[in-house]
Amino acid sequence: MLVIENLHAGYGPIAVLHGVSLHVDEGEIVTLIGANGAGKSTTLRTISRLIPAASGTILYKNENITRCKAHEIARRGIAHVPEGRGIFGNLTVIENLLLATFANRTRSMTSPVINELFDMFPLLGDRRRQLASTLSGGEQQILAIARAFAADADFFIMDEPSMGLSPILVKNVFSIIADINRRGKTILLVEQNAIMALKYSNRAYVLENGRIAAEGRSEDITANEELKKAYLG
Amino acid sequence: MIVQQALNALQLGSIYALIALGYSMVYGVLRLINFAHGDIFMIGSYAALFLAVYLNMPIALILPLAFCAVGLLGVTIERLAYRPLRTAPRASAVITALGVGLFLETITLAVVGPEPKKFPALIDLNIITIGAFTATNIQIIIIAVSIALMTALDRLIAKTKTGMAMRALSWDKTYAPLFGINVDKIISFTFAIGAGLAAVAGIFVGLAYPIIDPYMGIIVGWKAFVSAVIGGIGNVKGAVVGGFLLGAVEILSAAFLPSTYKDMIVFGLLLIILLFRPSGLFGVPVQKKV
Repeated sequence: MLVIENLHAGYGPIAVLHGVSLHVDEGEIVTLIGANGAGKSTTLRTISRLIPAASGTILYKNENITRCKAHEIARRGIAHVPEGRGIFGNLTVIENLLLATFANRTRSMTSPVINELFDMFPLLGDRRRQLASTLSGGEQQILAIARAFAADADFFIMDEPSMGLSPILVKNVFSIIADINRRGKTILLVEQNAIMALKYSNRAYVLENGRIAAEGRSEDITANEELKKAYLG
Repeated sequence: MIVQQALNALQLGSIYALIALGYSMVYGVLRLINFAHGDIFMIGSYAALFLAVYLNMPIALILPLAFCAVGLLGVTIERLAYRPLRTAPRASAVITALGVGLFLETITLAVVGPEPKKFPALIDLNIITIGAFTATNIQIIIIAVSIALMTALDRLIAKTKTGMAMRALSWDKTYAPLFGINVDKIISFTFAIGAGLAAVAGIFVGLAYPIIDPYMGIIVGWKAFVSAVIGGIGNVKGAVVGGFLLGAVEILSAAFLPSTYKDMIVFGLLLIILLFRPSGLFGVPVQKKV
């Protein structure tokens, strides 16, 4: 579904990614793990074109999207749930969801669609008319995921979805991730909480200094003593 | 007397509010104070003069045409002058805005000459008298059309996807494209609406005070800017309230004090309000995002 080949990217003169290659197949949950500064978020930001690729290619559904603009990538069905959630605090919960349908012009947010979303995320239904800035951190994270759903994306990119959440909420967020995966969504995940992420994902890549240092099935990575020592504490 | 002054205040306030909206909306999406906005208002006046004198158009055609033409000018200015500076320090963009304003003034000066022009009487003046109360049809039209435009804008911002996207941009521009929002398009649209409303204000000034000149945008632009700041720049309702407040203060001070005092009082009001409410009447105090 997503194939990245030899991707180089960074911020201005600072190169962060030095030839990253990876692929995500349809229906998978794939995790990127690595130390701070290894280039996990940068990889995600390059896929959704928040930053440009210096070289290399990104193929999505066999089409080259490397030079597409960010809003065009969103409209192709890639939803990036950014680190820090990126919700619009001055909009209400329901407006945040409606806005996401910009990414999909054929889909109008009719009440059945909205109701389906509120069935999936009942907590948001209770708060639909509230400004998003008044939600708690956990609620904002759920809103950010629901928004990707509202866009009817096929491919979810999630950057640190458990960041800043209490252990119970972390579990809650991961069960939501598993649930949307069961609903046919493909997920590329970046997580500090590597143990949790590996438990829920099919495969994983280990990033080190902007390069893929290891890859494999999640349970193999978890079992690998060397990697465990280096990344899973 | 009181009713007449109230109508004068509403008329002047409508004009300030229409211009203030453009300052506020552009600030909302770009965090840029578009100091060329007063001159865009002046161009609106001249565009209407041109359409009326050379093409003999009626006011019902001039209003929408000038709205669109000047709206397009606003879009062009953003595209050529401000977009290349999107990521530059805000000071560069503000200085560019001042430069664009001077450019518009001098090009108008070069084309039409420095002498003030008589704005054509596009509407035959009628005085409406109901009992002791008199108004002109021009006053009523200016106030009614302005309120209609402001209501339409309010609905647009509150209810449409484009309006939501404008509000989303004022919160955060970085992540907006992730939801399919074409940021450039929304910014262009914002400039178009802002400049279009300023053009309507330019026509109204021509109707109400029918002498126009290439420098008319400076002081009116400053006062509309003051309106936007008093209301809380970036806030659309604030711009409207600020505009009407300024109109009222100006008419009141001209009624009771020597008219040379009115600008002093207007700018004094700005200083006093900012002293007590630095973000304006409707502005939210600046939040630091963590």
